[in-house]
Amino acid sequence: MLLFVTVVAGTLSKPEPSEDTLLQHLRTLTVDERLAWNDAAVAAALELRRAFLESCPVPAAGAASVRSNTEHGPVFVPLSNR
Amino acid sequence: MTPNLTELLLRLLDARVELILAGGLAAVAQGAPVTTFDVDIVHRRTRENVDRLVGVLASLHAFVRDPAQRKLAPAREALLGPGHNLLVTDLGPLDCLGAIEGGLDFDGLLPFTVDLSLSGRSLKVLGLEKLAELKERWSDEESKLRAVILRKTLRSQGRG
Repeated sequence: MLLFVTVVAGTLSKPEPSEDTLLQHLRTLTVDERLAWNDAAVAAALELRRAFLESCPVPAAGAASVRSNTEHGPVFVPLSNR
Repeated sequence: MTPNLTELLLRLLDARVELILAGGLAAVAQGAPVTTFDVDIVHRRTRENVDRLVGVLASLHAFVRDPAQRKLAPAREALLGPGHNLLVTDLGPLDCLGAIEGGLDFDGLLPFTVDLSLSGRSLKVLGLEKLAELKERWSDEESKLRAVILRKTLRSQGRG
């Protein structure tokens, strides 16, 4: 969902476009443009993931989660999901 | 390495690999509001076509996605069979599917494809109707959600 909102916001310059709006927009694109849109979404998602994981400190031995300081405040990431 | 799934697909088409684009990227190509991290293809399993596919895979340094992290090259004999070859390439993940649900292979899926144009190349893509039908057969939540999105896309295009 985060990826969806991020990409759509960048594409349509609206914070939360409806799914209908997105569908109509995608209909106007060529196949090349639709695939380029997907490539851009994948690149953005991977960059977000990389930046997020890099912001996590090395966990203490036996820790169940690590604290990551984000611009929205601290986030605790379960180690099983890293 | 940042994937470039479009370039990956173009490499296959330029090498004249006979394939049907399936999975998430097939939905993307037809205007569905979904994203995907890999390319799924159903390739024609003739020796000539598999040889062309193997050539592209070698040029992209493909290896099998292996839980044990071994770097195994894709096997030509495996690509000739109906199984799923899940690979990593220089341009991103590529799943070469000999057949999909119900044993549908390249020839069996042809009636359900649409011909699209990608950078001037002809591309056979599994149609949204069939993609939705296949997703609806799965029991997991993600597949069911994706099927709903594909149906909505069909309706928005006046086809559902």
